Amino acid sequence: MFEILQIPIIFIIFSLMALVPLNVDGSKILNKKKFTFLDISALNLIINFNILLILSIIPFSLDLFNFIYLIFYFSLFVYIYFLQSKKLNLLIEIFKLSIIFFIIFFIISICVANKLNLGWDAKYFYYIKALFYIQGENFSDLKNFTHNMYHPHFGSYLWAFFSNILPLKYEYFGRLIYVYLFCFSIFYICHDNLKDKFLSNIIFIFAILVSYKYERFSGLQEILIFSVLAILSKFYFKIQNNQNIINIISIILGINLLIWIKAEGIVYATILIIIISLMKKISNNIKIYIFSTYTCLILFKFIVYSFFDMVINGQPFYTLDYILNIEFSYLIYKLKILSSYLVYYGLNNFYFVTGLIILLSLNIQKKSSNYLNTLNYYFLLSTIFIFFAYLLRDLEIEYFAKTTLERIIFLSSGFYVFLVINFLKKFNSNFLK
Amino acid sequence: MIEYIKNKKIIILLLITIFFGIKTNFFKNISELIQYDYNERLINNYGFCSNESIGYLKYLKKKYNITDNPQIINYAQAPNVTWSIINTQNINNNSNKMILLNYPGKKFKSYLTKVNESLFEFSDHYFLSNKFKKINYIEISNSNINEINIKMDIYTITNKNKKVIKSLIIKNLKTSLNLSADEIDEESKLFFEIKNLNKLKIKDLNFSLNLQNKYNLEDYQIIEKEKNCYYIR
Repeated sequence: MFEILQIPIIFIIFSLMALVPLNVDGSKILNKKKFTFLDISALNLIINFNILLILSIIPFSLDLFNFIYLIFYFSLFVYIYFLQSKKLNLLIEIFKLSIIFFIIFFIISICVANKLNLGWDAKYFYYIKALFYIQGENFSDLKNFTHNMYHPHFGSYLWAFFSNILPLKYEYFGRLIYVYLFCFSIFYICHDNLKDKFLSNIIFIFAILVSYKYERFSGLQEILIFSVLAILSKFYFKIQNNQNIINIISIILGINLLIWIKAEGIVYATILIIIISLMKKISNNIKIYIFSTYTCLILFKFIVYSFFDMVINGQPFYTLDYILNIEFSYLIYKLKILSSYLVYYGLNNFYFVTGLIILLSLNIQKKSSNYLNTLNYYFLLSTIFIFFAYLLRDLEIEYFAKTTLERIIFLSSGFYVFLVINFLKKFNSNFLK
Repeated sequence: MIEYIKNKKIIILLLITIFFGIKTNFFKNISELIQYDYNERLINNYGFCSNESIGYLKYLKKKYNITDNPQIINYAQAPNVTWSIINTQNINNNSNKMILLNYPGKKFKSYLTKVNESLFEFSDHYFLSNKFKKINYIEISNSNINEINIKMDIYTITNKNKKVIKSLIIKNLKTSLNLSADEIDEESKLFFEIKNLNKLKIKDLNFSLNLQNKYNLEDYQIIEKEKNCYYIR
């Protein structure tokens, strides 16, 4: 029973990350008309995840960071909401709105707490990397782990950080942050403001239900990319009408998380940057600013890895020799196998298949919108990525597609969540505007 | 409270939430969470001395305060289990102790997988390559056979290169092979091909291999034993 009581406590700890450092009721830098409290919560989460990312590189023990985190964030929360603004009514409103969010989080958390099974890659790589931090080591020690070079580390750090934060130090508490981020991303997309909670809540529950399965939270990292892409899909929608610097910063910080989660994350981050560079509404100056920042973020990762004498991505399966010598008939064979698995897994993923159907119908209806263009580019670039990644890799295609393609489609579908949910909410009535 | 209950919207939300709970097995999960503590749930999921045997590994780690990364050999087909007791501060070193999980005895059997009527594969070869010392004999599993005369080639395929390593004539249900594990590259696929299938009267042949275990318990000191799981040095 004591174990179950820890779940609401960890929910509060996670929620602190959504409530500070920026006041969700609007601060001096955020215009209340342009940013809802959920927009600011999403930005808070992204900022805090970036802070955790920086902490993951700094060589101090996890216990110390956990302690500082709890004290600092709790103090900041009290200061912002009780001493500075004294907006108790707002907190009560947020509390009421969050009830359904908490219930869904609690239900999924109970499932994670009971099942405990870790995914294949989690057992081999991600959890072992998390254990480095839990057992008192730090980023530089990861080079002692042979498999470190294949797998970026941020998800493992999150896992370690939160499994160590409560008195009961069970492994699965760390995975509950994945549950929280997943629920938050869908909740954020379903709710625009504090009004019309009923319909939004119903859509929220069904939106979770259609994409939920335990394996997503078994320590595999795709859920993180899915959730970040889902949050960013809403930011990309907002940026069409409002090129506010805060929106741009939110997107850049979100993209930075993708870079550190998984190798595929870097590809999706690049796709999102390309999409921005193709947006007509964004000025060239801002595009240059975004592109330069992105380049700096990638360079930062390279510098960190080379400073600690690590290989940034040691995937041994892509070689120029293989790509240049691949036979055409074998390429066709691979294409055939890949296409069949792509169709199969695509049809089994609600957001992927529904997103594509909506996208197709909007294109047929010749609806014109910048956001539609954004989605078209995303679909095109992510599909090209999938084909290239599978066709040019020196691995037995059937085994490779069978074991990994479902997860790639799932993480990729995160960017369609906003399209699908917004379509369902507004039944195609000007939902692109 | 009564106002809330009377509110239709709340009732609808409650029903949908219950539906969500049912679809995700919430009620079963929470009852098990109340019934069993963390270690019991680990055992329920991973087995104590079966499958991944995480229960046994956690038990040993706690009892012997294991921090020296003993080598773990699991004879059950299961994913990596080292995560359950690994000490990352010493990650690339193994102690002189070992943990044998689901130990099958000095000799054990592995069935060949039928590729087609004349071709069989030792599909567990890669998994068992660090667990057997030699293949003692090949055995025909069909029991109702009187007359046998099978010509068989045993070959490996490594990077698309085929190499015949043994040819034999099978006249009994058991035929000696004496094939050392060292003779077969662990990355290779090992095939058994019947060369005279068209002359055979018997159909649906099934084969198994009798393997000599690489680890003989008589050569080690047993520190702890539970069913067929052993902590040895």
